[in-house]
This record gives sequence, structure tokens and C-alpha cells, in this order.
Amino acid sequence: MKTAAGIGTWSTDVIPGLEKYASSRNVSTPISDYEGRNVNELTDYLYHDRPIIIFVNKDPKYGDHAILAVGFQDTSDGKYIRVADGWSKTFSNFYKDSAYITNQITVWW
Amino acid sequence: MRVNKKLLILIFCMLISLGTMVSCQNEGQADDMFPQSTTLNSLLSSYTINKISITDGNTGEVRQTSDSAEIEQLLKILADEKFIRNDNNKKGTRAGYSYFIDFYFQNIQGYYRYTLACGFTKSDNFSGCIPTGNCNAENENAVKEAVKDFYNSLKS
Repeated sequence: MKTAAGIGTWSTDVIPGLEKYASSRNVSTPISDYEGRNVNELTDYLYHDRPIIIFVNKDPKYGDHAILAVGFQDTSDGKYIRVADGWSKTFSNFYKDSAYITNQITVWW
Repeated sequence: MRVNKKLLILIFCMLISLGTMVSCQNEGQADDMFPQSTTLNSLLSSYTINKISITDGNTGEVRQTSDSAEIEQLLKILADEKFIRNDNNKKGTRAGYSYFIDFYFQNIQGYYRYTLACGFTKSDNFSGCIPTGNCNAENENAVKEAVKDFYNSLKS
């Protein structure tokens, strides 16, 4: 995925990287990138037990970071997405759906 | 015709103020307003920093200080480093960084963020007037090491 230490990974390099990995495992799987935020697609995937990679940009907590959405909950305060953020070993991190989401990368298998 | 000097001076001052206000509004929205080359010293010269918060991009751990001596120490490290505007960013969004530093200022809402090897942004309805944009430090590795040392010196 052309990840560089201290610099990170470009969203445009993620799909070729995932495709290369899938191919190395002899798996053919459609991978797509939605630029921007599509809450309906996000929750639809999660509802069907499909995790989804989310890129956030200029986020107050995460900055420019990628997180893995694994679930969601509707609350009176809006949608909260359960995420594995790579910063902790738990899935008990909750990210409030926000305009900081810039890309959603989905993998269907 | 007799010209009222006071009136002329007043109009002149009003025009300058208006120009500055428009310039500030644009700076907040357009990355291309970032200078071709600048230093942190010149970016922050008109502001008093009262808190610095550093986030480690690998762990998410945040360390912060409001101690003026520590703030001064970090500014001294970064003061003369040249930041060169980067207009050639690849299309897409970037994820990952070594550290970002949030600067909080006296009497200013929000914060100004420097993400290493990426650039300057403002958040949380930042009410200051400082340019933002993608840029690279002239000595990126040296900056990273200096920030890392400073971060490690702060209490967790």
C-alpha cells in the first residue's frame, strides 16, 4: 500500500494494496472506494456484518487517520460508529458520525 | 478645495482594516494562501500560546503542557525551520502521521494544528488569522526527531 513511516498511506493506494493482498490469497473480491461520506451505505454494510474502512481528515481526535468501522448505534444524539482505531486493542471505541469522514472503502467477500 | 486631512486618514485606516478582514476570511478557507516559504516564528508571531497538545499518531497518546517554559522550548526548536508550501499532493486522502501539534492561543477560540510532514490546519471554529495549507519542513527528519524528544520529555 506504499505506506511510509511518519507519512502514512494515501486512500488511492489502499485499493490496489487490498487487491494485491486478495490476489495473493487467490481470492477475487470487489473492493470499492466511496469518496465522501455516505451514511446509508456505511450502516447498510455494518448491518450485514461487513466491516468498512473509514478515512477521516482533520478530525479533532484522530487527525488524518483510517479506522475500521465494525458496528453502529442510533441514538437521540445521532449515529455512533463502533470502531477499531488501531490505537487501542479494544473495539470499544465509538466515533460519532461526522463531516470529517472523507472516504469509505468497502470489501465484499 | 480644502481637504479634511483627518477624514482622509480615517477613510484610509478603514480601507486597510477592511482589506485585512477580507484577507483573514480568505486565509481560513483557501490553502493557496499559505506562503511559498515561511517559519513558525513568522506564522505565530502575533499570538500568545497558552497550551500545546501533541498527539502521537502511532499510539493516539496525547501529551500536553501549559507551562510557558516548556512551550518556549518547543517554539525554540521549531522557530527557524522553513516550511515550504507543497502544491503537489497526490489525489485522495492521507491516513497516518508521526505527530500532530495543536496550538491554543490566549483569547482565541479553537486551535491551530501542525501535522508533521503534512501541513497546517485550523479547527474548532478557530477565530485567529493564520494561513493554512499543505507544506513540508525543510528538514523533515530533524523536525520529527526534535518533536519526538520534546514529546517524550512531557509527562504522560
